[in-house]
Amino acid sequence: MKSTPPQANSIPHSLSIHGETRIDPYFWLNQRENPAVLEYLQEENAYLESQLAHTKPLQEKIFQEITGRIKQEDQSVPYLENGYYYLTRFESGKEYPIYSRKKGSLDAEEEVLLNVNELASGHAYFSVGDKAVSPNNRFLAFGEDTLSRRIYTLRFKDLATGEFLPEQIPNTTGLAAWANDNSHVFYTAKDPPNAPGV
Amino acid sequence: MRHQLGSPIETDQEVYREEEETYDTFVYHSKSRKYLIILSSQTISQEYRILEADNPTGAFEVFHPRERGLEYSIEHFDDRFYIRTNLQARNFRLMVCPENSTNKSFWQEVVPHREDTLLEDLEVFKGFLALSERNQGITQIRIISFSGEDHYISFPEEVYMAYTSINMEFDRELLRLGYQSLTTPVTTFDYNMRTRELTLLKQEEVLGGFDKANYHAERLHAVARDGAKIPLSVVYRTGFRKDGTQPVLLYGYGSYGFSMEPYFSAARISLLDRGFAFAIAHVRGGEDLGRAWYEQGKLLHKKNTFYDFIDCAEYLLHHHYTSRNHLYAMGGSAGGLLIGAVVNMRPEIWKGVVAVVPFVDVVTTMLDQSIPLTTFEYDEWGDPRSKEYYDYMYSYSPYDNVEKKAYPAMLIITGLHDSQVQYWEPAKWVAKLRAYKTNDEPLLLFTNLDTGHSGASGRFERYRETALEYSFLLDLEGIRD
Repeated sequence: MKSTPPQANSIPHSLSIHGETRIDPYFWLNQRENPAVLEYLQEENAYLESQLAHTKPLQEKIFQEITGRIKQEDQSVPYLENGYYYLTRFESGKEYPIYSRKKGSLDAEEEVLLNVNELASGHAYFSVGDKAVSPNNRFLAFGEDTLSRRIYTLRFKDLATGEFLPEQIPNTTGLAAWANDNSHVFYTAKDPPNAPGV
Repeated sequence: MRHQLGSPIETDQEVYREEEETYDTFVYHSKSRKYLIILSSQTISQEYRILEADNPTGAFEVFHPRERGLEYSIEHFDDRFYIRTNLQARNFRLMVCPENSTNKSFWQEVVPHREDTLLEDLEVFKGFLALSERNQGITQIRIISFSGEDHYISFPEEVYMAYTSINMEFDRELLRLGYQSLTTPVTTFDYNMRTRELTLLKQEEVLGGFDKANYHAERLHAVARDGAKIPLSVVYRTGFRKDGTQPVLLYGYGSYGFSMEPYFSAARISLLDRGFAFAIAHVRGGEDLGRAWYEQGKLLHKKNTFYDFIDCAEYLLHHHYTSRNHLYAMGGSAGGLLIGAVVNMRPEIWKGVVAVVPFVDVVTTMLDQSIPLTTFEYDEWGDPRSKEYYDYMYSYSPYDNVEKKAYPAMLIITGLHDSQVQYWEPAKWVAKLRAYKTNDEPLLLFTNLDTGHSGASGRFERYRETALEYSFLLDLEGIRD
């Protein structure tokens, strides 16, 4: 247990512009690959743990309270697009949604587009970007981000067979648009990785 | 890029390359599915390219060429495009043009500019236009039928947010819309645009005995130091005593023209039930009161955002919603900059603050061209390679303005993989605060080593961080249960 706060090393770094110089003692913390940086962040985390140790029961209570307000099994209001009703639902105890659709009527059989719980398995972070269904309703294009850097790999699924297609397109914005031939797909590649705003 | 299903991705064709670094590029199809659309967008300019979706190997054509300061968005319907634009209309107006003559010289006005109302969005149907507007910070949905009738949907609460939801079909009289408020959980309605009937489809169930009647929301107005009236949205549990003894958590953002909505939060109930009031300061830099509200809180007017937030806090103190020993502030991302700025400017009025993924090393980041954020951001913060902007930015940049003085209790949260605000900004800030601050109030940094700007991705797990934030605040109030 750490009771004294960590203090990062001061390594003065000069930054000059307009004839002015700023001395930045902690500039070095931007070295993502420097083990001392990770060490410092871990020390800060350990210090926080020790300082807030007495609030652990409260944290747990609040976490249970908040998650206890969420309906375990829940479903969005389906919307109609191109002959199908699309919906998002959650299963009891599961962190991620299931995206599915029903043909023509809400009483029709449910067809699962993506079970994100399965896709996210083994990932500390997982996010589905955009989802785009081809005009003939057969193919699904979707983006996946496993690092929370808003850089998506574009993947495809044949909804007729339930199979994921082998092609994967890395470094995209996660958005795709189908042409009306159900064969051509347009997407945005990122080079270098760019980011829209904070 | 254009990919053909089944072919190797190495053979994908480039159909358009954005050469200007400050523009982001998106590709999608029109609601009509007749056109594929490429959008090049930057803070204050947009440009669209269109191609018939039946002709995917054809060439995209420019809708109207980019002009600095000209913003527009397009919706295709039938033989025409509707255009929402700021062309000679600071708060935007609605225009229309034939689908084969899209240059702005062909644009005809449909709904004119209004000084007090921002036109935010448009949904087109076969018989109706559904416009999303904002007046005095409140969202309104307006229905214009092609037969000439024009009305607003009326909602029962004073402070709420209403928004058009997913409407993928043209041939509908029903508008799917979302509604919520500080006390009303997320609700989905169908609105019949012809008969004006509102049908409730679903309201999110909040388990654990939530009863809306136990909470009260109100709208206040603080007068800022330059006379501007800043709206505040406040919610608390019924019985909240305005005698300065109960805590208030003040929340703000104030950048990029993002308006702060009076949204519902089931998590927030844990604070309200323990005596906290929650207040949203609709500070300048957001677009809450129209485009001018945004323009008065960016670039060389950025400090208005911070002053407004402080003046909202002063208002709450003056009117005994709380007192200095019970006043807290929270913000994330550019809202973390806000928190960083106000603790430097007025450290003594806050008991504690929470800053999440805060943008606090403004000068150094804005001068660092290797960070993707930077070039996109010049129109928001200015370019510090110009001395005027450098001096102004330097005068508020939280990291650069840490002083040897007492600071309130602070919890700062970041993610190691954050690509919007790099983890080192908050880390450097904390390191400097540790070296400079003269009192013993807690200063804590949590770095999530697995995640980025958005935190945890699961629907339950994300609340670990919320529980940490709330416990930090409650602990400062001496609340342990």
